[in-house]
Amino acid sequence: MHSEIINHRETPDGKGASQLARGLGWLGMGLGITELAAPRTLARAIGVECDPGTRWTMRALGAREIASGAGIFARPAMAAPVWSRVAGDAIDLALLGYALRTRSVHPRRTVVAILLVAGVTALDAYAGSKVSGSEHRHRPRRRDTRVLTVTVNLPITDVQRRWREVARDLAKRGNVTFRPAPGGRGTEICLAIKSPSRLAQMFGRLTHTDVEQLADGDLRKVKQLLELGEIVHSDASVRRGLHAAQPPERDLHLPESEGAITAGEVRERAETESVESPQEVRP
Amino acid sequence: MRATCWMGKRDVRIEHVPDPQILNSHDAIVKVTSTAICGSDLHLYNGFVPTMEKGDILGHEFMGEVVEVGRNVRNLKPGDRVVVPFPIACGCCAMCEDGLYACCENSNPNAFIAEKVMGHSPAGIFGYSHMMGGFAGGQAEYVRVPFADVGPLKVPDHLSDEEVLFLSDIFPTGYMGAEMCNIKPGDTIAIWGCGPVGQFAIASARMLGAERIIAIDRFPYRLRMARERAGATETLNYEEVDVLDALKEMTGGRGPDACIDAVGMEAHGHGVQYVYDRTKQLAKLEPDRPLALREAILACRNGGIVSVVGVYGGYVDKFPMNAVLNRYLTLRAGQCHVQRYMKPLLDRIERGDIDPTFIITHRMKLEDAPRGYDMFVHKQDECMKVVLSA
Repeated sequence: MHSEIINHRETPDGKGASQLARGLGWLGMGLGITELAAPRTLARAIGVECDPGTRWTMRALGAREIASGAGIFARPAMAAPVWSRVAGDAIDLALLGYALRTRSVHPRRTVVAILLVAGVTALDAYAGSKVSGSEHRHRPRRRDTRVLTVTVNLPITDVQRRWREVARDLAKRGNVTFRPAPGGRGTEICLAIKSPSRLAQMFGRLTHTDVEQLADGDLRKVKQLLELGEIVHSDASVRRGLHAAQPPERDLHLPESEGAITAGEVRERAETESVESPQEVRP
Repeated sequence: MRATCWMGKRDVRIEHVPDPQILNSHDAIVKVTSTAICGSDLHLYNGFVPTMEKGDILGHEFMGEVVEVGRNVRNLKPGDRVVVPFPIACGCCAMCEDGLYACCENSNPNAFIAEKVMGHSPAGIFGYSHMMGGFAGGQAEYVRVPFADVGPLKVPDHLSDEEVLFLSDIFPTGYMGAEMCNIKPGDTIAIWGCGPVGQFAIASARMLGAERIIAIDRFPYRLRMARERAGATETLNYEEVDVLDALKEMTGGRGPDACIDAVGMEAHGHGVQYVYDRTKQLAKLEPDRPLALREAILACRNGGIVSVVGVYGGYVDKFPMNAVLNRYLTLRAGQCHVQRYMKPLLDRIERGDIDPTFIITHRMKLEDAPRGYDMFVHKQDECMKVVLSA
């Protein structure tokens, strides 16, 4: 039954894995606290010389253990915190190996410590691969299309008749459909566009070229053109980029290539059909 | 032309900027004859409103003479004397048709910014940040007024600028605050904040027939004006009394039938709560200090109405939702739909129901705007309302 529910975080399989991860989290927490609070005792237990350097290294390792543990408790179904434990184990093993060669006072104890850590590493890696597996299977699939909509305060027949003249480029962005809004609330224009990849989206947002944002802006302009006959400008928005809200210089040219509808087209249209006042546009 | 520009936190200067021009066919250019500094301009002045840019022209309370109109403006001509409402509204979207002009769907060219913060975008506003459209404001010699055939109201010559100027914002805002209270005969209304909007809320509650009007502030001169000029029946100074206890005592333990928050995001107070909000606001962890709003909610009678016309900038903390829920309170709020109140309130002014000039304490030239801001923010010289003239 569970497998039918997409996005369910804890399937029987995943549950076992995250339970193991949680157990390891507790182990790490316990060890971390010991390392932080009693570095001297622990150093003696693993047979390593206990100078200030060892004590501070021990404390740092303790803080790392606690951070990994906290990560696991916060997100038991996520693999990254478990893998962070494996990385930590590798550091521990490297340091223990180094200690065995240079500063071990009880080599036998140090070897036992290395074997124990190696065992834990194996367990951590096993848990990591298990959690990774269930995470991979149950991660929500990214939707590959996104539907952007806007409501225009006009009957659907008016929108269908007039939309091409004001929004001929909108169809290039994606599939355009219309549906009447309930209760005589006008017409809903829906634009289905292909979702960009995560990377493309991040880049687009930084450079103001994100297709979703651009399409959304275009829809808003189509609404303004249908309802008002023109695109609304403010003193700042009429120029590209950030500007103070002050009147633009006299020689300003309205941005011609912005989005689907150009200001030139607006003027052309206004000249040919001498745009009616809004009251007359209304049916 | 000269214009009042926001140059940074607590830094307002008169700058020379280009003259405005017609950008849309429903625009008009208005030569400003009178403009005022609004309490909400102080939120900009104090740097609490996001998306301001250095050089933004301030001002959303203004009136003047039409000097130029766009191709599609049929109801105005050069020479007409108009008061301009502060929300910019297109007049033909679904919101405007419903009379919710401050929620116009078309007038904010930066709607995408507002949508990220508020979910949906409200109308554009003159001189009030880029999130609200990036429109140049009216504390200038000239201003471009979009949708001039929808908002601006022609005013009769026999009324002076000062008598009609406040139709642009604070009088309708105060009136809407009182109207949202559904005042019935015998009602007691409590009003937090006796600044200009609070004074008009008090005067409006009186016009709408409230029996008792309790005004709350900390400045004696403001409380005095509330009593002597606006029509409050009682006043409370929250630095002298515990407001919740006092209101209970005055209303037989019931609480006021409706409460109006005419304070907004920069409320003052005392005690732990004030220190908490002030600290969080300074650390940018909370944009608003909603002390008045919290108190209004706790004070309101069971089943009463809390009406909010003070301006808020973002999310508020420690909101007493259990009181709203368990005591069946109605929370109403809004930027004023000025366009729908201008004509009826102009009629009231003409009939003599109210003389809005009572709140003016300082008259200055446009050049003195920086001094006006400084006086208003520090409440120097019992400053209540600064009017700037050309």
